[in-house]
Amino acid sequence: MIVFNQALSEEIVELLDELEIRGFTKLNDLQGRGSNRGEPRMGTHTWPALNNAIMSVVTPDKAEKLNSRLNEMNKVSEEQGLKAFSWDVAVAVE
Amino acid sequence: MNIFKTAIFRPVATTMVFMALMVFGIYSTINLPVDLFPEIDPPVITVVATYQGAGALEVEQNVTTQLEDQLSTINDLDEITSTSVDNMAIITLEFDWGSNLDEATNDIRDVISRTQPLLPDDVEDPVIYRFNASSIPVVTLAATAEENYPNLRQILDDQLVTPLNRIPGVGAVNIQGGPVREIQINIDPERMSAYAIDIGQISQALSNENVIIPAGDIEVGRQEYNVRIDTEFKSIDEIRQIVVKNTPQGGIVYVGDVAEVQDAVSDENRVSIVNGGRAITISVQKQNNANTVAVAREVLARIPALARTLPPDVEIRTVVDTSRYIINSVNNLSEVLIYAVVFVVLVVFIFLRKWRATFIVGLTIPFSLIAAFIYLSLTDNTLNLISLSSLSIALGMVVDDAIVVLENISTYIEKGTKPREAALYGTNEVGVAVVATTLTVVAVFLPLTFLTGMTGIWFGQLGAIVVVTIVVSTLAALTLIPMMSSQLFKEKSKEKKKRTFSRKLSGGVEKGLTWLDNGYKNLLGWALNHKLAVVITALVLFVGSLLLVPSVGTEFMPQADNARLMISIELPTGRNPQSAIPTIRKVESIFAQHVPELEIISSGVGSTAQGGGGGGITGGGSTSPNVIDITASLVPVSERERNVFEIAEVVREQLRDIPEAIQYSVSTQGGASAGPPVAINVIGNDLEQTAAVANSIVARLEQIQGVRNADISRGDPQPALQIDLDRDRLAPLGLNSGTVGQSIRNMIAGLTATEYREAGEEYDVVVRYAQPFRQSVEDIRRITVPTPDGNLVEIGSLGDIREIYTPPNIERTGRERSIQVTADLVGTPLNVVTEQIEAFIANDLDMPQGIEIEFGGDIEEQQEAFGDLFLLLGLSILLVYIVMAAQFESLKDPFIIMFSLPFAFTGVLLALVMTNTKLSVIAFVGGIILVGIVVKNAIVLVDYIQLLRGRGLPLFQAIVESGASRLRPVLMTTLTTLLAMFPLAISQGEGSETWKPMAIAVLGGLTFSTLITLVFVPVMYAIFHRKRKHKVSLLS
Repeated sequence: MIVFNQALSEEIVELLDELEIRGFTKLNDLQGRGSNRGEPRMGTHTWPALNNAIMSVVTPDKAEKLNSRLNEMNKVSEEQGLKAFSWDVAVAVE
Repeated sequence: MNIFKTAIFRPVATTMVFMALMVFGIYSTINLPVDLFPEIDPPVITVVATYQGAGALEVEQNVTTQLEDQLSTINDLDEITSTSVDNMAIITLEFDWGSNLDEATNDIRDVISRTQPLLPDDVEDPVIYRFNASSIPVVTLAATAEENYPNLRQILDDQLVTPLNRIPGVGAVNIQGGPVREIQINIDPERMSAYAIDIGQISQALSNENVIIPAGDIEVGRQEYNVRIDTEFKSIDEIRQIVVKNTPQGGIVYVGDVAEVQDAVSDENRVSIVNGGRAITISVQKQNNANTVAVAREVLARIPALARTLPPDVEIRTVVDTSRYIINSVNNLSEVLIYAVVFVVLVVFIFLRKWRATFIVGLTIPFSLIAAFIYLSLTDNTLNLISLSSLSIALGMVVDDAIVVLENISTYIEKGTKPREAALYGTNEVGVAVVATTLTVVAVFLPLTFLTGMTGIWFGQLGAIVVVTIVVSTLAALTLIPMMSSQLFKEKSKEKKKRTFSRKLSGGVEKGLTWLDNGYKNLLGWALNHKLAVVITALVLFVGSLLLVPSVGTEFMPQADNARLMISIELPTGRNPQSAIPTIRKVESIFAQHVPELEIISSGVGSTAQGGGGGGITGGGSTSPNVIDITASLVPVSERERNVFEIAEVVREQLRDIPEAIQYSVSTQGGASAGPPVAINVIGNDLEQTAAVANSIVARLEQIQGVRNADISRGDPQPALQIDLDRDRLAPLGLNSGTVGQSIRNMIAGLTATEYREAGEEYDVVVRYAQPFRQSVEDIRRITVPTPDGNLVEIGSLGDIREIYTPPNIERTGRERSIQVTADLVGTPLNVVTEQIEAFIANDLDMPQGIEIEFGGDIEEQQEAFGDLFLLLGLSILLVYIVMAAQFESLKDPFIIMFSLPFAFTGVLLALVMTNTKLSVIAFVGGIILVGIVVKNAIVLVDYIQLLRGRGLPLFQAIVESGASRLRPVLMTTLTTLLAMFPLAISQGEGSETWKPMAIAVLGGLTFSTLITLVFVPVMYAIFHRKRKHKVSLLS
């Protein structure tokens, strides 16, 4: 699960392509705010930005790669507020 | 939301849409006709009835009142005024604006046919003239000649008028002045009575012997013959040979026996002199919907070729070319517009210091302007002073939206967002605010289109154009700007260390702006700690500015320098036109000595009876034989130092030295308002009483400084000979006043017996007493009239002849006799004069019973227009509040924003006083449009304060921070608006006077209000919001 500023959408999808991750679910126009600093993303006049999120089920090795690339990306522009969470998949219907 | 997304993702489609707009716009622009003002079709219809030989009083009693009584029943009639002069009744019917004039014309026709039986027999069929702008001559030419002068009129008629008439768009071509050929049968009354014939018999004989009668057809075998009788006169000699009577002694009396037959020219009614030579003036009118500039250009282009076909001594000059002023004005204004564009682009560049950004913002200018041209062409309007000035006004505002959007996109890019996303989110964020500010502007300009009447025509177009351009600019800001930004902007990267000089410059500007930011921040901090002081200062400033109100003069419309002086000189009454020539020479020499700027001077005296409703009605000349009218055209404004008003003062000074001039006026009427600014109607039936009141008002007016040409509309009484017939003496002889009167008329005025035809032209054959027999009172006494039993009686034995004075013209307003007092103003504001005259009427004037005084002219127009405009101002303020309250979802915040308004008016007052500009309708409209412009700054500021508070900043910090961050956009949008107006305000060229007051008002108001808004509005915000906890702004 990757949560990121809308502005990063393209780059992230590109990244997924690059890592040959085909499957994902993208959620658009999400509100939220960071735990510590991070500007709220409310899609209002006061806080105009919004987040998107992508959920993708990948193999652990790909997850590793993805994580490190996302970390790089976040460092380039910290204020964009990129977050990624990963957890194990319990049941899957293929 | 979707519109800019689509635009960003479909750059080609977006570009094409705007390209299509451009193509359509350029096509419209090319075909757009040029004119001075929008088509103004005043709802005025004039009815003219001629009653040859009747004095003003008779005309008034027998013709004018009859027609007036009947005409007053017509629907939608607003006001009925009339002028009765010798020989002519002119009735002017003013209808409500917007009433159907075609219907009205039909009604008038019906009424006239109904009234006809009530009118004297000699009254010719009344003619209906629809007054419209096209009745003002487009071009006035003057023809001078030496040896060919006697035939000049004929030559011009054949060789100039006819070809000119064929030019498309040319309406009527009138010839004024010059001799008209006439066959005169000058009777010797002694011989006539010796042969015992009367004038009626002679004219009867002439008309019976000058006929063509088709007598039918006969068939001779297979051939059909047309039988006809043709005894038309073939030569003048033939007329002499006409038999009048067979005497009982068997003799034959020919016309030649009792009269002299002369191929002569009629007594000249009008004398024209142009640049010193005897002249004939030719005025060219355009057809109703033809374009002035196009027609004038065509006519003037044809003249050189036509002049070559004329005899060599005939010279054609242009006296008045109305198109020149129009073209110069429009060119001047176009120049102003170009300067405005340059200034605006420059401001944008200084603030952004990026070529690409400047280019993108600049792109909105042509598209918005082109949209205005499309609007003009779709609504059949012209490119005129109003549309161009409107563009100038709109220009500063069209870039505002683009700036706001672009600025926000750049902010995103600075943060490291990709251009396309930056465009998307940047636009999204400010889109609603942009629409909101546009709505406030629309709220102010749209009501302008609801105005009616004269002001409606003027400002309706202004309102429509600004609305169209602003809406298109907003559309461009939401589509074209994001699209272009996404394509042209680069990602934030190593775009540094290039072009050292421009970087240095950019750094310098940046430093300056940062310094300004910080200074403003400090100022705001100080102000927030001294709220009371700020409020008191602001209050003092506003109240103090109100004290300026009395020193702001008012006027209806600004006077414009149209390079023309109209001089009217009144000579002692009872003189013939010829005797005015020496005076004309004196005036010409005054011009030769004192006015080197003179281009052409054209003078005329007397009316033009032949003009067919010419002179007096179409404004082409004086109607009395003792009034000289002079038109002096000056070289264009750019080629002279003195303006027309200064020159008029010089001429006035010099005219004082002409002793025979009883009264003179030098007027410089230009600009939009027609007629002199001061017009006061004195209404009452008694001619002497009204004249006395009017004269005392004139005397008072003359004491007021800056009043010129104060005069009354009724001329001095003219001498007349009145024949009082004694009915008791007429009756036994079998005569009555009617027949006697008619006979006398035939002898003096003459009787047009028939027409003499030669080379396709018809000339009147006029029978009357020869000149030597109608020269004195004695001669009139000796005129004989035939009695039914064939005897001849002298007039002297039928009644008394006495010399009386009759008024040369009688005016009526609302079916009552009136006199109009008129005056021009130099420098003195209209309201000052109005006040003084009102006080004079109320306190000092001895008003006899039954006399009423009404203000007309500009005074009336101004009062009406100002009333309308005050209403409009209220409406605009209300609408802006409504728009803002809806946008902010708050009643309080718009109220705070509204605090910037009073200072706009303070600024307007200051600017008007400082530049010594009068408050005209134009300046007033400037004040109204300020309502929409001024609040924009406050909206931006307050909105951002709300935003920052929403983000959790404390009140104090939110205000200071938002001030610092919004200072640049506020300054930028304000500066673009100001600088777009600036060229308009300082322009000196032709036509600039008209729009200057508006530009000055907006400049003053906006500058002052912006300065105050930046400090006062945040302070007010702090005061209003000190208790309440912050609430998230809902502007989204």
